[in-house]
Amino acid sequence: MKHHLILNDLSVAIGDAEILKKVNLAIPYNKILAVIGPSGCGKTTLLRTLNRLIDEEKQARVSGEILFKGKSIHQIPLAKLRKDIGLVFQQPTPFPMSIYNNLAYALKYHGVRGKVNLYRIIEAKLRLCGLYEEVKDHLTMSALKLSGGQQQRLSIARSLCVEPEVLLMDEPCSSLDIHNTKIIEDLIVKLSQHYTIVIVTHNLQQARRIADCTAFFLEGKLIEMNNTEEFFTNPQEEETKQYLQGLFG
Amino acid sequence: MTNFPLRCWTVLSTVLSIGLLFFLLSFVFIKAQGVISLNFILAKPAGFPVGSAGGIWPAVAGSLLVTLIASLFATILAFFTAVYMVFYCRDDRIKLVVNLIIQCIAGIPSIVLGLFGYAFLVIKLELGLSILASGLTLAIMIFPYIQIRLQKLFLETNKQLLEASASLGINRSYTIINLLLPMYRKQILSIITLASGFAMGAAAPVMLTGCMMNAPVPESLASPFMSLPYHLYVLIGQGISLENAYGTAFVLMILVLLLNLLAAVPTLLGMRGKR
Repeated sequence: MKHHLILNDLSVAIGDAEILKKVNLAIPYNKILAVIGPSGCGKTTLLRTLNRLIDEEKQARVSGEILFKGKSIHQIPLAKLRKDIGLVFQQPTPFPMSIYNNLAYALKYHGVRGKVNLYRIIEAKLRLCGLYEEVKDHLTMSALKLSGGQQQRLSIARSLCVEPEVLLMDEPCSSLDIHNTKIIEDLIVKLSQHYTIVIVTHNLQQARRIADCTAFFLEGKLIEMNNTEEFFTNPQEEETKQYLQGLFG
Repeated sequence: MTNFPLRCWTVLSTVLSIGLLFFLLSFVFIKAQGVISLNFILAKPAGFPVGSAGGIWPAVAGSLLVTLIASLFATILAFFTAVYMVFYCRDDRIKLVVNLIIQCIAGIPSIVLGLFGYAFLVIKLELGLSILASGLTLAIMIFPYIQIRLQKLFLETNKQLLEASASLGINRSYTIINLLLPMYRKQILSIITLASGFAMGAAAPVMLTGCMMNAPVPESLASPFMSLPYHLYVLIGQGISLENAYGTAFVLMILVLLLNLLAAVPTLLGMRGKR
């Protein structure tokens, strides 16, 4: 099995609006896939469909098939699916509690017991996200007091705590400055050794810097997907060329 | 039109409303100052007719206890109704109907609630004239007050926090208990405290369901009891002692005021924390 996630004829509609139209896509193991496209082309909806967060929306209708490691995501218990496919949002989403509790919150739910065990995992994930040295003496401090970049790294660390296999990221750097963007980008590249990453981004340069493959969406359709170098130097489709030249979007 | 008249009127209204509270408090205090003492608060009513001498301790204790019972029952019911309405109910028609019903409950005159409490709780359910029957009747009265405010509070929750929690594979119950409850602890306590003040001041729902002219501090949930607003009503209504009535009114007002101040404490502390 080469691919971690496979989408077959995936269509999503919310109310009367068709957001995704018959998308066919295969996402390989431990690679970074960048999803680009103009606003409203369905990038975020794509991520929300992959971990079934879209189900929370009353008017959403999903058709087609999503296979996670060869198995339909509807055959996997919801909690297990969302644990395996984590999602990091555009805005950092620290919970209004201490840094430690932000990370222990999900661990306790998933049955990790004992202070030593909790601390071991929390320390490892904070280190992985390059946050441990910055916060190790303030673990009881409210997470809301961290800077934007730190909050986003905490959100990533929190997602990693439950040991996902796939990490979905919805423009994780859009609210951050250049310095913090660089830190998060380096982190994403490091994480791709162990995790499959799907990152939605508006920043073409970012996609080019970090992604192994890039997919271009326009008006709910997948126009083109290729390995990143090929995608940017030799786009096959006319729409892709125009988008890369900044003619629309 | 210039800004001046409207601005003047808004400032005047604010000053008037604050002034009214001080005027009311000092008016009652001046009238009551002859009887107000620690002994008045801590002694049993005495004299003939009863209440013309002695103190009001059983009424103070009764009021506090019946308020506690009412707040407890109302909060449990209101909390879970609000949680259902915001986090579980997906059918807009059900939401509409439930909201309408709750608003209707809020509009029931308190004396009608008293009558219902008497007919249903005291007679039909055989609770007897008791502090439990009164507490439950008051609970019905303050339930919509708490429910509507809790529902509004929950509706304002940042959707992304809930989604972040869901994205960790966590179910709603755990999210509500471990994320929302701690997050809203202060506001929830504030809402309950304010509602308690409302319950403590009500006479109509308790006078038909368990409140007595003269009773000792209740020993069990089945005991009848005295309450401050009803005691006040009897003292004035039957012309027993105007001075003691003012004394009772003053103590009741101070208790309600204290509850309201208590409700404001978390907000005040929060403001200090943010600065």
